[in-house]
Amino acid sequence: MNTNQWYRLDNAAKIFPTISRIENSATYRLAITLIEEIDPDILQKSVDQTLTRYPTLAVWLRRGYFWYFFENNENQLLIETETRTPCGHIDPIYNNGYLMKVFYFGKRISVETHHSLSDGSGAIEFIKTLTYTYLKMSGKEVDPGDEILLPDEIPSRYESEDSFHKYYQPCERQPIKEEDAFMIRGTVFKPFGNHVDTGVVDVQEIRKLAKSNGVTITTYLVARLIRSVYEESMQFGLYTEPIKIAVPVNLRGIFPSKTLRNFFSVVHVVVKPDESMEFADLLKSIQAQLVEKTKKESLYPKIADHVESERFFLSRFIPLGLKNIILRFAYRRYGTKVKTATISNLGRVAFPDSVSQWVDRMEVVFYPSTGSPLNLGISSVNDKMSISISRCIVEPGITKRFFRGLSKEDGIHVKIYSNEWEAFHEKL
Amino acid sequence: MKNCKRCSVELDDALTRCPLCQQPVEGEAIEERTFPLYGQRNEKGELIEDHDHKARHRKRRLQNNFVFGTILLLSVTIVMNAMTFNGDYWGVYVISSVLYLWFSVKHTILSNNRACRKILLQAVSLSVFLAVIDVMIPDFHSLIDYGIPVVLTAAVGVEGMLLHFRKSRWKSYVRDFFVMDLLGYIPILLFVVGIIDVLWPSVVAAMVSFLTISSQFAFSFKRFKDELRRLLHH
Repeated sequence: MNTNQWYRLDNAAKIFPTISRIENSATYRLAITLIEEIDPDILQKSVDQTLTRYPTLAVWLRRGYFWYFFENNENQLLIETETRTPCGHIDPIYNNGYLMKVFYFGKRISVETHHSLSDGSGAIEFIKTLTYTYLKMSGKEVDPGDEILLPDEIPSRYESEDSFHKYYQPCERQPIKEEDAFMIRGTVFKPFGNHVDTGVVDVQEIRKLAKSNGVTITTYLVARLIRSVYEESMQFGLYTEPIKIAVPVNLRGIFPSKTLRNFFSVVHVVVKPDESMEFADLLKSIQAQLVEKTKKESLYPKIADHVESERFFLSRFIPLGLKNIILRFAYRRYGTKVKTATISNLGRVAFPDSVSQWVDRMEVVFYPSTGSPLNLGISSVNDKMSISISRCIVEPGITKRFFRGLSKEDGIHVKIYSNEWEAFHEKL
Repeated sequence: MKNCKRCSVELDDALTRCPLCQQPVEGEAIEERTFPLYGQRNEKGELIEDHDHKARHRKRRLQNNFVFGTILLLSVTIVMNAMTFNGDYWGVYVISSVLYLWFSVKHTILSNNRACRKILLQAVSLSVFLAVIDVMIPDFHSLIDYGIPVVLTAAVGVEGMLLHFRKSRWKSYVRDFFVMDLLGYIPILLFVVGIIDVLWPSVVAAMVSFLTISSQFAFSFKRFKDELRRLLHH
């Protein structure tokens, strides 16, 4: 490993160090539940070995005069047992300089990653390698197949590239002004923490349901969420703001990128409260929007918009301190206020059979914040889909309606897990 | 297997109530939990999860007290100066002293910043404070002529030594050192534009800055060059 290595932050990463704080951690969790208890000693050794394969994650964040940058971190990333709620703020000072954490609890290994390091796809690769290494060190006979990056491989330079710049094409920029979205209101937990309810469903069952309606699983779940938000918060009021659900799109599926850093775009599914809220109409509208907005031609202007903003002469030479103030304002104005909630579907995580036999399920928890207090993370392994709704507000109404909708209206079998932060909060 | 009949969902066996409708469910919770029990307490009886929150709360309350005390003092000073005004702006001395003190407490004493950052902020705030006092006293230029160059010379010198002797903290110091070193040339610029009347303290400040940065180039040229490339990337 080159001990003097440093990296510029990729285009999407630049905003996250500026905006992250306790109430907006910019940290997401990927958690894998195995079928047996985790051994902390073996896990620590596995983390040490796995991290050498991911030099872009083994970094610490430093301030330049104009931008932040990452530098190779040679400290040990120490694993911890879980004592706090998922997706908490990571303070590198108390984490050997790292912007990621590895937790264990019972049968679960959780990797929490600050969004400046990587998006979900990059973190999935890390947790896959970690799981494989852990099982191998535990004495299991596992074969990595082609699906897992091995810890002793030399990382490819394509894995550390900023794909936004690589696939940037000059084109007409989109107007920045977006209509404000309906915001979910509630009582923020104090002390701050994230309550997570995870519903585990059968992939085949939900796929069949979505297919029978002529839509994708993502479309179906977006529609369920919109319906839940509407019924819980807007049905009996006079609201003009649209419900806007932010759906991150993995650009690796559209462009041939191998990067392990951020390479995603966000599209907004918009439903106005004066439109029909009949479920069938919602499905039709959302499906049409997702198809249109995730086309290559629709994404090019978004990439161009971000890359050109970064390359703009003034933004390059404004000192970092001043830039942080501007970016915080821009995020509040154009980042938070234009979305009601976020649904991040990481899709099916593929493990070779020899590994997947030791894996029960996988969860992704997307960080909520005071500006966007409820979010959904979806992932599936071994035909089990985990839908995690994380919130930092006391009111459980939307979560309740969402899962009741799936179970009562759609007849899907849902098993609920919860971290019960809400119950702990009540005791205080 | 536990179920919530109201919500029609199966529940994790570790749960004693449905997280959706908040209603209790039949059956004892199994010991093997899926998530930690957040209400656990340490030997002192404090909630483990609450540690950080309490510390933050204490710090915030201390800061709020400082802010309110400062506002109170400044308001009283302005009113007193206005009510007893006889052509003397004595309130400016009090206000600038309080602001300098406030800045020093917040950014030097209470702050977790590295030593070089503290020195940089202290040098800048002390220079501004000296300049204000100097301007307020008629026919008195010693603080600008001598005070500011001396402060900046001392700050550059100390930062240079820290950089040289604390090798392990080199990376965390160098960013502020470079800014501090540039500030060392300000007195000579002020002399050129006629704000400072005495030359030699300004020359000393510039000389110390030049020698300090030259020593860095001489003894660790590649490291210093690489570091500047990172810090200045845009």
